[in-house]
Amino acid sequence: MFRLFYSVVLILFFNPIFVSFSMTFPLDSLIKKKKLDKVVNIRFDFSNIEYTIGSFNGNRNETDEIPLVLLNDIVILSKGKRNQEGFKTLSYKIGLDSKQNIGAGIAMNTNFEQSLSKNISEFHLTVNDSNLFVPIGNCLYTQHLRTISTLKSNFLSQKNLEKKEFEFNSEFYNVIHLAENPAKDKFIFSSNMPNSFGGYDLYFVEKKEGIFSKPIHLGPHINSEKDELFPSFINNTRIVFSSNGRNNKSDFDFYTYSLLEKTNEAEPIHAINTTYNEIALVADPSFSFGAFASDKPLNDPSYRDYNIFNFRKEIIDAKSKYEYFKDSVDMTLEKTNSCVQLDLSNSIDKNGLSYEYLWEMGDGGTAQGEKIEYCYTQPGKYIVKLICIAQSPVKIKEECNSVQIDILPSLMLEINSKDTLTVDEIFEGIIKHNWHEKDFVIKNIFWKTDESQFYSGNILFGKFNSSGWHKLEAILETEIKGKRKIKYLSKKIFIRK
Amino acid sequence: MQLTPYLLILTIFLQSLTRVLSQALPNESENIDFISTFSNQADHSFGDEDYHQNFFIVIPKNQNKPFFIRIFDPDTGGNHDEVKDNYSKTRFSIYGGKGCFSAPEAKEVYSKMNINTGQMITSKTFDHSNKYDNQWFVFGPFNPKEGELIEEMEGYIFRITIEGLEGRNGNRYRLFISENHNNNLAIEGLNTFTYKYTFKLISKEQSVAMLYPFVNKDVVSIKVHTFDFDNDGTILLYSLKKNRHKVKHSKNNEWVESTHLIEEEEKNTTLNIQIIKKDNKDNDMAIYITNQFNKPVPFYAIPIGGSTKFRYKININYFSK
Repeated sequence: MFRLFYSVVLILFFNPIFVSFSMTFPLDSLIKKKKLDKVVNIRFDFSNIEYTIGSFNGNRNETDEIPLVLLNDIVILSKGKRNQEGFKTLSYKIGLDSKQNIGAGIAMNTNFEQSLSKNISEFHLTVNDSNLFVPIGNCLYTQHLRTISTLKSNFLSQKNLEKKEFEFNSEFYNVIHLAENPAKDKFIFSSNMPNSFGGYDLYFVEKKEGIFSKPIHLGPHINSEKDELFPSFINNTRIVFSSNGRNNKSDFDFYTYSLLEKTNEAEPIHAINTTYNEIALVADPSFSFGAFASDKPLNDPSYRDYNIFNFRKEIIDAKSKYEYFKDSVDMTLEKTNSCVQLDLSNSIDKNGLSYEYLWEMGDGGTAQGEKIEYCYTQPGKYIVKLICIAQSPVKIKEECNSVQIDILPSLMLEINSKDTLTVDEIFEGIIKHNWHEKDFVIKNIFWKTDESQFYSGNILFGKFNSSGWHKLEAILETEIKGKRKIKYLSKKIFIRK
Repeated sequence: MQLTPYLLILTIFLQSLTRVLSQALPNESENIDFISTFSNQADHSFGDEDYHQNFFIVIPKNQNKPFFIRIFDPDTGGNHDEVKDNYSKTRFSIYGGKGCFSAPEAKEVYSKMNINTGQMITSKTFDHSNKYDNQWFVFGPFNPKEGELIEEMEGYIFRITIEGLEGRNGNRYRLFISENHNNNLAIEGLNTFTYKYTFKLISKEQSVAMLYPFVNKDVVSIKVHTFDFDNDGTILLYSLKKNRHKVKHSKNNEWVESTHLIEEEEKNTTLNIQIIKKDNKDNDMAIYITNQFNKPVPFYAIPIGGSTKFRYKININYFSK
């Protein structure tokens, strides 16, 4: 059964005070406020091999979080919280989730309790030409969709923010989940209007010169006898929606469909769909980044109901790298290698007269012996010369071989400056490096603790709940001299009681 | 050995330079003082057991210019030579034509007899008179086509046979294969080799003479024979797989041999024998190498494929501390 509820209290839009505060959210000020590095860490589930999951860190304790719209790199999401009596929203927030998977800001935070005379609500948002967030629709929506007879979606003008009822709202059926394309000339909504195949189907309207076309039922390639909900435009012609009536599956899964290729069946998005419900997907036009809600369980059982997950193609790559590193002997690597061991012992001819071996390390340093270890203090390429020395029967001092040593700049995971931590003590995880700044950019850092906590952000604010040895791992999505590279670091930490 | 491209280019350049300058016998890279051929009444303990010597010249097939064989200090007395009398004689003969190389006797290292296979082109006997003492004598010009064509060597072969005739002196001399009568002008692509080498080491402590035997694909072991080294230091063997292997060396007036297995990587490569002298006295000695079939292995004046160096493999492991 579809257990989602979320709501927006329609009446709030009629409240002049709220409208003045909430209807326009200057984007720049929001970005400034979100303090990307420190405000929030976003959870990731590395155990899922199809994609990496991230969520707003409010994903906890009996709340539903739903992504609404993707604006540039930012996911605008709604967050509902229900009480023990049933599907009633106690509070609502709209937050930001950046593409960097770091940071969040509270755009709106109010208590809707007084408005919960009827079920629950949701926002549908878009952005206008002035980078202001503008609600374009809202609907009443419950777990028992078909028992609600008169739900409406409303459309608000982008220019003067006047509330204007969506043209196809009806008192006889529900019109919900209004989505518009980036060009703002095509709209899709979900409705249980009479000619539907069953449940909620998707309808398409076009707007030309301010006039809407008649709603067009999107047909069997998209609609089923059950519900098609949460349409979203990825670009001007491709949509994504959730359905629980396609491919003989009963849970809500994502499908994508191109309005230009109308003969094709909607395609399931296998990379994201699970046996749980996935709803409300928003993505960037290249489908490389986005967010969705799912009731898929997280490792922590208290994170139940719908949580927001994000997905990234890049993260899929990081995943495979992570799997690689997991089997690697370098698992406990704490920084990149600045030391070398040079070993001749297997190539020395024991039947010949012996030599002494001198290594000129290329940085002015030397070492002696068949097998030596040497650490460089600076990254770079070094030509190491092997000098063979003999005193008898004739004095020899000649270059026997040379090798190039390539010392990458070091990359180090550090935790605070403290030697020890205690249980529940907040610590800071940070990555240090000595790369030249123009060569090395850390795009993302994904953190994982051995207590199955997942985070992202340039700085980790984490804690361990139990004492003993723990392991902190970090996957770094970096750009080295313009090329994307995945780096892996881990560190063992002892936590005192 | 790993070489950067620049080092590689430099090496190729130096090799080509060496090729231009390496028409001498002994070759500069051999670091040998003189070739020695003693007259046939000399005591073996002077360093020469058979009183004769053969050198083979390989003239590239495409070489059409006439060439000259220049001999430095061919006389048997005066400077450089081991003088015991005033009547010693040495004969220098140049052979070409069929059999000068291909005849089995031409490669014979055990024979104490002079070898006459092939067509003698010219010959001259030198005595102790000082006309050519410390001077150059020139044979030629020779038409390269007078040599014996050996296809697998891609060249015409000439043989220089040096015989110690009557007397007890030791004749020490040098050769140069030149394009020019009056000067030592190298011939591009020319090489020389011998199967048995009798020579005088540089009379200097820790001087290192180098010989470049080439082992072909059929060689699985070699036997290094040295004569009359007088226990004058150390002889070492280098190859791609051998790093300073000791070669048994002889004392005075004796032959000593030591056997060395040839590994797969060493086949078709040039070995390097280093003779390291321990004092400053004069020392003439002889050396030859045979394979597992007792067939002689040639010493080339210019090492084929370049001078051999033992290959160190360096294992590199990166780690952090």
